[in-house]
Amino acid sequence: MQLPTVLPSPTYTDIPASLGPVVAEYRIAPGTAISYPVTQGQYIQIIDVSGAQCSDFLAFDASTRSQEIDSTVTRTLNGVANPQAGLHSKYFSQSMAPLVEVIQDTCGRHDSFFLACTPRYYEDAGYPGHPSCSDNFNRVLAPYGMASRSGWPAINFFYNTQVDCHGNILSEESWSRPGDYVLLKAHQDLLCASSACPDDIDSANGWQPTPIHVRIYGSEQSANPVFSQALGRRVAADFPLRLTQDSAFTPRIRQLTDDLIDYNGFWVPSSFAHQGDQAEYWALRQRAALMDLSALRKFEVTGSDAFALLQYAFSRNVEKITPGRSAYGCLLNPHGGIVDDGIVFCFSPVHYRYVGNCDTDGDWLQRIAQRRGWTVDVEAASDRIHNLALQGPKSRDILRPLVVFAEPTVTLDSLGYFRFAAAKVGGIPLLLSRTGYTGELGYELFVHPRQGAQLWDLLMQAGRGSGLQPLGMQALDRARIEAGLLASGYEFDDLISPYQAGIGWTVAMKKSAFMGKAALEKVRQHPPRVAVGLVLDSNEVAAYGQNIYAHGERWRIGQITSATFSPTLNRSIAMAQVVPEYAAPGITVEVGLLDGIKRRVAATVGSLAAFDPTKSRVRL
Amino acid sequence: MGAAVMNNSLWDLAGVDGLAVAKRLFGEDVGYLGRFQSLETTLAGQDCSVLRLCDRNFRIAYSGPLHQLVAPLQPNTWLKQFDWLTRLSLPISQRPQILPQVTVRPPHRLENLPNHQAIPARLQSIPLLIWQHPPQDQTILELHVARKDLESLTIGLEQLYP
Repeated sequence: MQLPTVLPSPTYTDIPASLGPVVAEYRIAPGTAISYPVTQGQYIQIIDVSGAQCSDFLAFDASTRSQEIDSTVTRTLNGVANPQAGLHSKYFSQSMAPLVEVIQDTCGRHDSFFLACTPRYYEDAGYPGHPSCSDNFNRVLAPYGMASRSGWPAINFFYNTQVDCHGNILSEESWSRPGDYVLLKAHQDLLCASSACPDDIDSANGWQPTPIHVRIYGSEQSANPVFSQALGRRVAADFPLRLTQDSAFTPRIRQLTDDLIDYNGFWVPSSFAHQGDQAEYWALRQRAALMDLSALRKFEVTGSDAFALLQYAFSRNVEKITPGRSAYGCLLNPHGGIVDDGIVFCFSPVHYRYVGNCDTDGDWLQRIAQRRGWTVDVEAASDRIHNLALQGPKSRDILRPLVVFAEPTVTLDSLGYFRFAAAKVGGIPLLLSRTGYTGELGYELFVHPRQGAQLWDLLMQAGRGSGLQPLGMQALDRARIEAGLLASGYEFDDLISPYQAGIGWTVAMKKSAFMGKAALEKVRQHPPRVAVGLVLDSNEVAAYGQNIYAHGERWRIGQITSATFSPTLNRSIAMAQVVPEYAAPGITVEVGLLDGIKRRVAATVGSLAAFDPTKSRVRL
Repeated sequence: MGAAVMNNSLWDLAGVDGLAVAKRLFGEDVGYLGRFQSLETTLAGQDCSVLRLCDRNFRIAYSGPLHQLVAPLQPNTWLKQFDWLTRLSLPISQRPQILPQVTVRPPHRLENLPNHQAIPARLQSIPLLIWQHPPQDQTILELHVARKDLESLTIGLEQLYP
């Protein structure tokens, strides 16, 4: 195999430091391509040097060069549009053999629908003879005896495409920033080719092609945690890239399942081997289940104006959240939209903890405090507080012999709903709260990560006799929909008010002043939509975004926000948001499945919580 | 080796009302099964093994006329006996020899495969479904395989016992 000429390695100051010892590296000049060998187990890091630069990628088996990445096979076997770090991470050949696997990706938007750019593309646009990735690939693959093609079916890393609702494939400027990369792992000896796309006639490369850098790392890096699987996500322009991480409990969870997904920056189980979401769900409803909710974000709010800040920024009346109590509510924006939902825990009038979903929650609170001139510190504490949820009818029985409260007068049986206390469980210090996201009696245990594995082991052992099972996200989602509990991005976002989302009861409108009050006073009078529960007259399950119609009419009255089949109720149910005129219990509406015309299923409006609407189980 | 081709009394049931029909036939317990989990029961006085393949998909090992029991329910499902599918049984005592030769794809796992559990797998590139369960109180490894692969599978199993 002919190797590309490798010049003495210069020091590159325009890209992030290498992840580890580099076996080889290549700088691909704008508008060019290279080919290079990779052996089985080696890692390939493709780095966008300046940002907004597409890099097309080809891989062939080194021995015969007859096997190449096949995107149709890849999509079919993975069931996703593009492989991503996690369970569905591999790119496959036409014979279904894995060639490379995505280990890390800091961009999150790539293309495999289009060929690498072709001469024809430029000809049709009025640029005959314009350099193209396909011609460049032909040139660098010719020394290996590979026949030229008029267009190469490449993986177009950093190329921003999507399919719109009309079936058009749209292309826009790449999402990638300077230093963004994909890290691949070779599953066999390969001949690879990478380009720095020359397209300067549209926005794909930001109208200005720039270099790409490729680094090759040795297979021994598989033992290096830096090379762990991770997705890189950005939540705000002024927040750093965040790579998926393990929680304190993930190592234990990995022993029980390979089915992990990235959820809010943490690897969490979707379901467990030899169990599955149905079995896990029934464990929760009938016995007890244990789940890792460390993906929740925790912020310590301290200072003389801690109360003032939360009273203004949080929807509930914080006067009623006295030490040892917590309350569910939401952070609001000036137009009454929900920034995030979460729980405020009160330790003292100068010390609270906010537990929500977003890394930006703390920044939002801090900004409010600064604008108001309040003396308060908002500290992100998620790195030192990981949490398990032990939920189910037997959760209390499992915990009772294990827990010792710091305050001797507190007992597990006396710990009321939404109360919390410092305790030790099996000698492990933690915060124990009677909260949950399942609609069941249950507890959350907030612990320092260094004792996470020990806590997991302790609870799993203690619960064995009661039929305790670990719970994955699929089962959790089924349970929370039954219980009418909200999920960010489904029931609410920053354009949806609490009155629309179904948590208007969390808004303490009598407070003299709070964020969004003026807007909410108007919205409350007639929210554009309100949250309802639906029970469908079919065993088919609805889906997020499906339209809801007035019975017998063509016009819509709302949309599905979440849906599932309820094993307990033995019915297909949904959470939805509909116009107030159709929100009365008992009204019959129609859910438009498929294209909304071929199949309409009747549904009855009812309580948002189809399961235990009076919340009797959580208050046991 | 002890592999025995079993009678062709496998039924596949699936459709929108698959779960509802299964519950009517086998009781509420079938709703508690996770994917690839199974239970042993009786139906119209005959032994029956029920394997859940998905939310609304079931495979039933039953020697009786299941179609006669399902038809009156007029469900939104189909019930079929695949003529391209067959099954072998192996004594559970052969599990230590068989399972090391089998490969599975994530997220499925072979280790600690419990009773009443099936798993898609391959033995020497032959695709099959391995089902460990106790019909008539005798635990077996039941292998579901395409008829066209039966001979190859049989040869492959014999090679494990030189």
